[in-house]
Amino acid sequence: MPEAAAGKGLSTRPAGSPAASAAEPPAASTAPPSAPRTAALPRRSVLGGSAVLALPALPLLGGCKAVEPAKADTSALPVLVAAITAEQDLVARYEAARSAHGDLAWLLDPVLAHHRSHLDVLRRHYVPGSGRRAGEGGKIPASPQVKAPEGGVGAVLADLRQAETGAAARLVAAVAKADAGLAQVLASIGACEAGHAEALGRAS
Amino acid sequence: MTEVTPVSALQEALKAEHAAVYGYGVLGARLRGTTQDTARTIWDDHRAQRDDLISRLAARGVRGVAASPVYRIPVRPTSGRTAAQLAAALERDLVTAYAGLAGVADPALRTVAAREMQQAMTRSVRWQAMAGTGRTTGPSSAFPGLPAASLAPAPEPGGTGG
Repeated sequence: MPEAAAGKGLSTRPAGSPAASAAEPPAASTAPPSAPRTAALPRRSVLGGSAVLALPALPLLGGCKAVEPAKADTSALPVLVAAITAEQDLVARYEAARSAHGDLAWLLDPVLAHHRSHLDVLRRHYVPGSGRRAGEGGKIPASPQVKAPEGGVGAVLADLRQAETGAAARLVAAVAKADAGLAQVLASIGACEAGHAEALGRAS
Repeated sequence: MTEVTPVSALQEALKAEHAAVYGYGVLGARLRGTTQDTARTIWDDHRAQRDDLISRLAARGVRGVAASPVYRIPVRPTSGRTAAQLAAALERDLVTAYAGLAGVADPALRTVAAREMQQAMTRSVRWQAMAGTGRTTGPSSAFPGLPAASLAPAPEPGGTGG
């Protein structure tokens, strides 16, 4: 029994949880919570996930300049269009909020940078309805003109939090409709937006 | 490249849930009051999610990986603050673990992964704030859980050719 696992632990652990019995610490002990014997496995070897990620191989990606691309699978176009449109909306909201409330720069600037990165990566994959694929549909609307909501800092943060929460929720549904590679990107963006929502809530 | 199958992705997620169950058990001892209650609730959630993953593997005729007897923990929880830091780190690792599952062919599993990634990131930010290491602005990365290489496919911006 590792000494690190011998801390008091959480008292509600029910007896007989079979799958967890080897890993869960005991319910009570006076031993200190950390000790050398805890370092038995490299954490990455246990928790690693990045190594198993499939690099996105999006069917919408094109080939060389001399060859007309094959007709793309456009089934995921609405998903990508919606994701890009949502990011455009979020960027516009944050830009408006940032202009109106410079004192929130410490919070808004890092989040705005994330959304600009999201937009860049999504556009790098493919801009629907443009270029050689203009005939495939899925044209993206122009970025909206947004004004920061009136009502002060609290109203602005609440508006942004609501927008982040809504965008994240829509991405949960979107990953089922996207191809596998794009789904990973969308799932990651959704996680980022959920984190933003939590941070905004704490700043309110 | 190693193919990511639903089974291998589920197993990776399960490993991370095992580690989280272990880690929350350890760090909970360093928390008090409502913060400990929060940790206890999340601990229960991770145990339930671990069992759900085991069931999903069993439905595919596969036995889920067992928990390890011990885990290397990234932060030694010697106080409430470091316990919160450990919880934040465990949740970040879960985001990464579930990102693999978000790329499998089964849309239902992708949905599960996306939901779990969001919950884990939300918890991570919450614990980060509880650790009191400064103002909390949210995730440190724009693409939590993804390696940078996965964000740079051969581009065709605007479809203008390569």
